[in-house]
Parts: sequence; structure tokens; C-alpha cells
Amino acid sequence: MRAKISCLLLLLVLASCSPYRLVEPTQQTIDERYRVTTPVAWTGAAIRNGETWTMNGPALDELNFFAGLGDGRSLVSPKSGAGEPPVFKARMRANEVMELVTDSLAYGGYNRVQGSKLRPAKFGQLPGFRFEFVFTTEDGLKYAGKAIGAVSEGELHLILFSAPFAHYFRAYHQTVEQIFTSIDVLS
Amino acid sequence: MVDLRPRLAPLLIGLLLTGCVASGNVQDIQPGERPDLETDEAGLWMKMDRAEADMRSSGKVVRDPRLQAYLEGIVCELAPDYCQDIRVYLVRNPGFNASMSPNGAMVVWTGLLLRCENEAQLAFVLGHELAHYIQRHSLKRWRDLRATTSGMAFFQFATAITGFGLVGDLATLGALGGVMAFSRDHEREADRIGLRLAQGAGYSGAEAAKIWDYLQREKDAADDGDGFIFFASHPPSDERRDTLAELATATAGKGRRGAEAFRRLTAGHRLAWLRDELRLRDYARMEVLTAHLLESGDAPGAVHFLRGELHRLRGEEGDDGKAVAAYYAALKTRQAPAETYRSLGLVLWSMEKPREAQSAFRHYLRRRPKADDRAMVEDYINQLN
Repeated sequence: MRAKISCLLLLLVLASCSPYRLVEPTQQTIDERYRVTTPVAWTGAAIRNGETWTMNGPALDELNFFAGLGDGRSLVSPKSGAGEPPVFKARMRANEVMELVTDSLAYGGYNRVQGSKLRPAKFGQLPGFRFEFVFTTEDGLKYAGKAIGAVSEGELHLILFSAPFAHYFRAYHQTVEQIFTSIDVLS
Repeated sequence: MVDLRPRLAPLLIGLLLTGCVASGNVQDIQPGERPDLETDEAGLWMKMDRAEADMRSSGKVVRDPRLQAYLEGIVCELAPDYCQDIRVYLVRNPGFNASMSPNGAMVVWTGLLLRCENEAQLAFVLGHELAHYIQRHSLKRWRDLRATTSGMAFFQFATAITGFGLVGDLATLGALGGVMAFSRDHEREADRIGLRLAQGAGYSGAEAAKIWDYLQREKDAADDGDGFIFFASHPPSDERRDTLAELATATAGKGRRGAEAFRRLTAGHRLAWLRDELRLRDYARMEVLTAHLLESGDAPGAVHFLRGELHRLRGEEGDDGKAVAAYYAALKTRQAPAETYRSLGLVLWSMEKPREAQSAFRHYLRRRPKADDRAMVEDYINQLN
């Protein structure tokens, strides 16, 4: 069952055959669109429109970066027999981006997906938003997540962190907070 | 849903190697009966028992004691002698499906409850599933398929008939069309028995044909052109509708529909189940479903709201106007969720109607002063100044 708990973007990583690499605890540039500074090292891999990082493996903690996701693009890959995944639309407001994330998780097979605490926040220099979310896996394991994002000139910048609530989410959410506050959007 | 394929593989291979057993002499299961430990049926039950244990802790099972007791009560009314042998699992899944495992585990999807108009329709479907159990249809198919299919086809098919591994496997089921005729005979038999059980418990037989008539309409409208997985091994809906209508003719007009209790117990879930359907993004199917629910007068505020949501999400030409009309229709019922105002504001903003959008957002905050997205919506209002 553990194999089925692959988080949101593992499919994308595998589909693109991207090798994992060491992410040094320094400033990192995401797809030439924005920079973040991480206080600790991660294992990372490139994905379409961004990167995915993890400490202990994607089933246990996952930090996903999207940079400049365009109109009509999805956060997740299509699943056989499940129709098309939800897509980003350039006109989306913050509530609709939160909906895009929760619907993408539901599309990925997760249960009891719920977004909450949507509020304005700066994504680096850009006016943006933050929110939190929870979901459970098929066998009932509860995950928690937090997100920060902005829609700028019809493109979506988004960072999502998710991990099992019981330990890993609490263990890393402060580290993730530091990364969120370090965002520097490249002009 | 729990995917049993990896767990079933050793059992299936073992059973394939044990040689053929004709299904011709399989008798109905008796109340309280468990298969002899030396039989292939016992092995099947053992695996199903394990899968059911996993199912109990699944995040998909709906934990609503009143609704659970209600469903179990209907099963016991339909087949009192088998009441202790059946366990019902209501699973949070969009789409119309129910399944019956040979060990007595019955799985009912929430999308099925959403589409039933009343208890009589639900009772017929549950009776249909009970008939599979009583008639030992799974065991019969299991044994016949071992004699007629290749190992892999049997493996795939056996996974499907267990009832737990059905999600998203239409392609596999489609490829097994050659063996479906046998299954369809069982389905026809289950329809007849299900109707008899429902009528025996005092339900209106005419409702059975109605649910199949509706399902055919929804299937015809589906974006993907596929039916529900429930149909993959079932006779066509129009055939079932006509047969059921004919069978029910003798008792036409008699029996209860049980609409009130059904609606009362499902009302609190309907909005969430509708959202589950919307997440499938099958907009054409959703249009038929919401129209059906509106016709039956069911939770009009929530249904109009979700109709608006489907237009907002689809976002094709003309959808903005349709979304706004649906939101206003929802608000007119005075039963619309507060989110109706927020969604209305988002669409009006996209339509470049800032004053109207602001007004909608303000209404949302008045209706939901402690909304946890209050700061965001206030920010929208400020941006629109």
C-alpha cells in the first residue's frame, strides 16, 4: 500500500525520467522564474514547470514548486480511465487555485480532500495567497499540506508542501515556512 | 477503492491449477452458511474477508451511523433471513455502482444514492445485489470462467467480480466482452429477484424501471461515451427498464416509495456528493444529473449552485452567463449555500462587472461572517474598488 501513497507529483517525475539530485542548503532557482533559499538539504528532481523536493521520500514529505504554469496546463498527469485532470486557467482567482489543488488531489485518488484558511500573502514581490489542505490516502492515513502561490500575467507560481500529519508535516513545516518567506521572483 | 489484484494473484493461480469444477450444481447459499473449508469457495471467502478487513479502515468509507443503520435496515427488510450475513459499506465515490462479494460484503457508492430518487429505487438495487449473494453468482462465474478463459483473462475478470477492484478498469472489462453474456444472464436473474425482494418488502415495483431509465439518459450524455462501470457486465439499461416495467405491471400503483426518509437521511451529504461528481469534470453528464435532481425536487438550492459551478469550471463560451443564471436560481430558493455568493462574485469579476462582483462578495461575508477565507474575499473587494 505504501507504493500507492506516492504524492501528487511523483507520477510526473517518473514520467519524465528525471534523476534526483542533491539540493544544497543555499539559494535555489526554480525554472528561472523565482528563487528560494532552503536552510537544509533536500533531494530534488525537475518536473514539468518546476521541481519536486523531498527529505525522506515522496510518500513521507514532498515540496513541489511550479513556476509559470500556463493556461490549460495541469498540476498532475492524466490517469488512465479517469478523464482529463483539472487544468489551470489564466483568469483563476485564489479560491479557484485552491480548488484546482484540491481537485487535483482528488483526481489523484486521495480522499476527504479539503482546502482551508485561504488568505492574502506575498509570493516574493507579487501579491498572492496562502492556504492549507488535508487529505487521506486510500487506507486512511491523514496528510496535511500548505501552499503559497500567485497568479501573475496569466501564469501560476505555486509551492505545495504535503506530508503525513502525524509526524512529518509537523517535523518540516517550520523549514517550509522559511522557504516560503525567502521567495524572490525574478523579473 | 481497495485494489485486490496483487492479493488475489496467488489464490487465483492456485485455483486455476486445481482443475475445473462445473458450476451447474451450485445451490443457493443458505442463511448463516459458510463454505466448507476444503472448497475453492472457502479460499475465495478467505481472501474476501482479508480485503474486507482493509476496507473497514479505508478513508473512503462513509462514517454516518444513522445512514449506515438505514442501509442495513433496508437490507434486513429485503432479506430478513440473510440479515446477519450481509455487511454494507457505503463508499464515498462518484458514479453509480454497487457490488456484492461472495462473502457477504456489499459495497454501495455514494454516487448511487445521489441518483436514487427514493428508498424504493435504492431497495431494488440493494435487492439486486442480494440476489447475487443468495444465488452464489460469483462462485458460478468463477468456476465457469476457469473452464472457458485464459489464465490472465480469468485473473482480470475474477478481480472485477469480487466487487472491490472495479474502479477505472473499464478497458479490462471491455476486453472481456466475450464472457459477458454469461454474466448478463446472472444480471437478468438478479433483476428479477431484486424486484421480487423489493416488492415483497412492500416497495413500489414501478420505481425499479425508473432508475434504469434515468441511468440510460445519463449514460447517453456522458462526455466519454462510456456508461457506468455498473453497466460493464450488465444488460443494457433500456432492456432492463422494459423488462422491469413489464414485471412490475402486475403490482402497478402499489407499494411505497419511501422518499421522505431517504431524503432526510441523505440531505446532509448531497452537496458533498455533488461536488464529488463535479470533480470528475464530465460536464455533460453533470448537466443531466443536476437536471434529474431538479426534476425530482431534491435540494434545489444545492443543485442549482452545483449547476452554476459546472458552468464556472467549464468556462466555455456562454458558460459565464449560464453560471450566473444558475447561481441566481439557487439564491432564489433561499436554500443555497453561502458559497453561491462567492462563486457568483468570481464569475461576475471575470465578466468585468466589478460592482456586482463586490456586492456578491459582501453578501457572502454577511452570510458567512466567520468564513475562513474572509481575508481573501475582503482583499477581492478591495481590488475591485
